[in-house]
Amino acid sequence: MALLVRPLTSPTLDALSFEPLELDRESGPVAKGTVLGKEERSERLAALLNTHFRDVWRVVRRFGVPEAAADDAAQEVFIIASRKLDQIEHGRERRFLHSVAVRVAANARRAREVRPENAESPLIERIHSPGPSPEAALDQKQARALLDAVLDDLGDDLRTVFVLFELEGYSGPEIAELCDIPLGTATSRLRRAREAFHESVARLRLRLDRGVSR
Amino acid sequence: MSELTPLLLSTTDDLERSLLRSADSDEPGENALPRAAAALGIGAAAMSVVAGVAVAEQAALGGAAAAKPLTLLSLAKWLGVGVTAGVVASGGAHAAVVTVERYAAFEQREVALAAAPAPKKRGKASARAAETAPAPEALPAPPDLPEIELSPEPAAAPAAGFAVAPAPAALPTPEAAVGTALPPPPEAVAGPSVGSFSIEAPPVASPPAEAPPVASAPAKAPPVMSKAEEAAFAAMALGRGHDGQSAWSLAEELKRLDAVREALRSGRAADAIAYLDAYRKQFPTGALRTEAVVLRVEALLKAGNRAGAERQAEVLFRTAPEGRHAARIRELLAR
Repeated sequence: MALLVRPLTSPTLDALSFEPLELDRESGPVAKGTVLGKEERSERLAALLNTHFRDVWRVVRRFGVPEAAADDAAQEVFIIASRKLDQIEHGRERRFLHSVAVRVAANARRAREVRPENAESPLIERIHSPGPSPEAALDQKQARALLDAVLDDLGDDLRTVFVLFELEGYSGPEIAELCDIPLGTATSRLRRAREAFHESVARLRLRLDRGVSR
Repeated sequence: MSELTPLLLSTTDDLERSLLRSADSDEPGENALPRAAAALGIGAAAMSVVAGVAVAEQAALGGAAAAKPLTLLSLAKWLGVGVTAGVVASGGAHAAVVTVERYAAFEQREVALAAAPAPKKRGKASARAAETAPAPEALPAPPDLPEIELSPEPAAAPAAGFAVAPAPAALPTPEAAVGTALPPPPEAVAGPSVGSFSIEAPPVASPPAEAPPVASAPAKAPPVMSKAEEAAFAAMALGRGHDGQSAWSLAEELKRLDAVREALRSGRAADAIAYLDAYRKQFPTGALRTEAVVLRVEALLKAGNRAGAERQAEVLFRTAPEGRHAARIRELLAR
């Protein structure tokens, strides 16, 4: 079991090695796939995809996977889920998928390595804000790009906890379980993430206001 | 940490809220899901069966109306798909079909109200429209679903009905909509909250003086559409949705929901519900409509209408049981 929590180099293996929701205690790290028949598996997987693909895609995006890589990352989450299909409890599918997504996104970010340092500035400069209130003029896409820029500021650990709590609605204990960290760590990460978020948004507002007055 | 309120609901900073909310609208390209299905070796047949059920679910909870205006044709398909899914799948889909009916009733009420005269003229006509409307708690709001991606496979073709979106020729006249209304369901008559539906204009600036108390009696939606409902539903099919997208404005939506929040903070639950009704009418496809459901649950609870709150919650739980909004609602209900 100790082996299961060691990070491996392959994204897939890394994600597989994690024990989401402690469902693997009995069956070990590799899904046995003996419970469901082939057709049942296919149906369940199709249902999972139909219901959760968009959600998973969105969460890997928020975890910092760039748009160009998000399709692949989301797909990988489901490939991993397909291997562990028999172990996914009914009603806990979303949590399971998100726990895998945390790992897949971490690996995707590592693979990406080079993060554009100036991603924020050009974007903010491009925003044309005609009114006195910058936020009123933001369209959804711009707002999202800014959100991602702000999340980038948080760093990976804080970002993950922040996204899970603030955007995905998980509780502290759930996050601790999902990320395989102690509750105290999850709590303190969220606190720090919020502080960093407030600061980052404040900086953003300054720049937006400058943009308006220009 | 679990006791913390998510920032989205607690922050007073508009920019922070705008940013956090923007995450909800992000979605993959339309090819991403089919590609993933192919990569997983899932055949079109499996995907389309599931998608068929998904259509019913989505329709049942307002996802269909959220995307594009409905035509009568697409409406027929929409209901047809619901029935088909009900036959194909077992119990769950049956519930979905029932909900389609309830949703239909909800929509017809919205139309009757949309067709009613503006506030300055409101009175008899809108009062009658309100009377014909079931109590608000009885009906599911169109919440923001996990909006299930539909497979583009041929077998999922009914979904294409949602994309048919001709410009509406004309809105029904108030007289027509109200005139065709049949006697209201008994529980609607009994519910004093129906008056809140007469709020026609954005009530943000001036709260309605006559905001009525919220019904505490459990109300039930009529299981099938009456002739009047059908007429109004048809009118809805022709007339609604045209302003949803064009008039969309995140800032305006934010303002509306802020007014709701302010009302809740100062203990004016009835006002909050009236604001939510007005919000729902103006932004039937609003980006923040799921949040509006959460606020409605909170308002109903504050007004002492736990049954109504639970009905609202139930709709959201069924399709997005683990989302942020569902989590928030659970928290509210647990208090």
